[in-house]
Amino acid sequence: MKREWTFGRKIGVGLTIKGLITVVMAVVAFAALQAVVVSKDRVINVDGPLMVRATQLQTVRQQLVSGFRNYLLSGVQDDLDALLATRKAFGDTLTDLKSDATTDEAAKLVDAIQQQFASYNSATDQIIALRKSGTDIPTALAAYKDQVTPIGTTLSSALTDYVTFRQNELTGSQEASTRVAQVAELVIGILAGVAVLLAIFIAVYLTRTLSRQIGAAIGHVQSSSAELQSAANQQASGMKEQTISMNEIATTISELLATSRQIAESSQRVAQIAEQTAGSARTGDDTVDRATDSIGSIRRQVDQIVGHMLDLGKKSQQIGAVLDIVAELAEQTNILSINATIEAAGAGESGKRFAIVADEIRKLADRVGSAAKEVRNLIDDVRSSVNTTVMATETGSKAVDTGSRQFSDVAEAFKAIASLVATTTEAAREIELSTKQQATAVEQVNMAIANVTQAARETEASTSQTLETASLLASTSGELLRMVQARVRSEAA
Amino acid sequence: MRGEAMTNTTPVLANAAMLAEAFDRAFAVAPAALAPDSIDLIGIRLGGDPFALRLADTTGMFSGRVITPMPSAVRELRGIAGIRGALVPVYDLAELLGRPPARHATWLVVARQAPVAFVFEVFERQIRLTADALAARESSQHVREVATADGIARPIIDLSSLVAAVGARAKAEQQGGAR
Repeated sequence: MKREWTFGRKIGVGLTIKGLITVVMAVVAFAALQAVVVSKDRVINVDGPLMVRATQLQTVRQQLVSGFRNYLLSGVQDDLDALLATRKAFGDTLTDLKSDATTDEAAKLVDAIQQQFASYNSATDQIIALRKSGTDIPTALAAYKDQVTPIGTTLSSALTDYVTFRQNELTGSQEASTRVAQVAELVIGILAGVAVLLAIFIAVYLTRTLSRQIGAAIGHVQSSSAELQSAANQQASGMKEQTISMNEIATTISELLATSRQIAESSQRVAQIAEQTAGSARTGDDTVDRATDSIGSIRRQVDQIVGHMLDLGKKSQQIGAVLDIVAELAEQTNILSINATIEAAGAGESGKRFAIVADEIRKLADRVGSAAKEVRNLIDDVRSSVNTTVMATETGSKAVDTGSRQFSDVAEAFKAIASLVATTTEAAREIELSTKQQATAVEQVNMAIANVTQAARETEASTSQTLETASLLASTSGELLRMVQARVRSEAA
Repeated sequence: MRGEAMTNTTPVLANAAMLAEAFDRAFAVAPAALAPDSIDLIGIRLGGDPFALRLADTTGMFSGRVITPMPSAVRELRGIAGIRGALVPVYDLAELLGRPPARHATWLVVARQAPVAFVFEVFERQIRLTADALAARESSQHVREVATADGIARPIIDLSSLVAAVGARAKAEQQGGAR
């Protein structure tokens, strides 16, 4: 049998072979039984009845003898009629035997009996005639003894031969039947032995093959059970961890839900604040416009200040020029007074008064020079201040320009801020709406997580059950494997 | 700023008022006689140091005169200048005293002893002292006195000595050139 055949196919093929052997054995047994039946039927239906008839013929022969004697003794017609009836029955029996003779020997023996019976009848007819004629009994008996008894003895001998023949035939048929039955028994026995051996072979073969395959399969089942057990353990552990993780996730989701609600509230507040900010931005926009106008006014005033300061600087420069002349005059006056003093000293006594006047002039020139220096310093201070103021004013003008441009930028930025605040308001509303939807989604996720947690717990429970089943399967497969291996070992031993 | 301007302006106005008053008083009071022992000095600065010249040693002081350089063997000679219709040699006063030469000297004094001018950088003022304000102290060949005015000691440069020295050197140079 091929290894890839299934168990059912193997068992089916084995049982088919066994059935064919049984059919062959049954056919052979039927044939043998038929042969036995035929031989026994021959014994019962042919040889037995013929044997009975032969025996009956001997009985009828005795009845003939006794009936003849009765007639001889009685001479009564009834006895004669009974004798003739017996003789007719004897003759009919012979006729039947003649017709039933299956062999030449039997026919010859029946013919011999018929010849002797005919002789016997003619001899008896003579005696009967004597009796009817009134011959006395002894004479008749003596005649009977002389004429009939030898023929009767011959007839009896022929009957005995026929009976012996029939006896032999019956015995032969019985022996033949017995031999046929014995042959049938032998054949059936051989076939039964062959069937038993074949059945044992098939059984052993199937047992070994199936034990090997079942053992291997059980081994696989055991290995798979162990793996399943390990997997179930891992799955159970994983389910526990998953349950723990799901609980943590559920906690986190709850915190997330609370956070989402807080975000929604914050977004709502942000939206309100953004709306207020938008209002403030619109107000601020107007303020910025007014401030822009004010900056323009400042710019014009600064330009005027710059012009005035430049004019002041020019005037101061002119004052400085005049003052330079004054200082130069004072210095020259001083020099002149000094030279006058020198000349007065050379003029003798009369020059002394002139020297005094020159000294007064020199002092006045000194003071004028000092005052001119002070005024010069003040003018320088004024010019420096004017220059500083002009520079500062120009710087301020530039700053005003820059500030104006920056304020324009600020105004633009303010408008952009107002627009962005509007966008922010819208975004805050969208965030609020989205956060509410998120909170709803988080609630749904929370519910889903709860369901998943419940499913994980149920899975954990089913995993435990699977683990138990795997353990039971492992123990069962181990038990089966032990059984199969024990059987295989015992068969191997 | 405004307060600072006010504080700066107030002394100027006071000075102006004082000047006006002094100017008016000069015409009102009788002329004061000069002290008999008064000495007039010209306060100058050479290289930042205060010095003084006797007014009596000079014939005039000028400023802003054009000095025309002249080639000379005398190193201190700056050139010649026209003063009061005469050409006078101009010498560097600081360099004659052994100090670094003046770079932007514009003031000139003409010595009384000889028509020789000396140039210097800074003229401060005329100083009038009494004789007791002078002290003899010969710190160099051309400085023999020191005048103290307003707490500042000013060595008095002896222009006569300088004129003599310059004349001697010029003479020596002329003799050297002739030989």
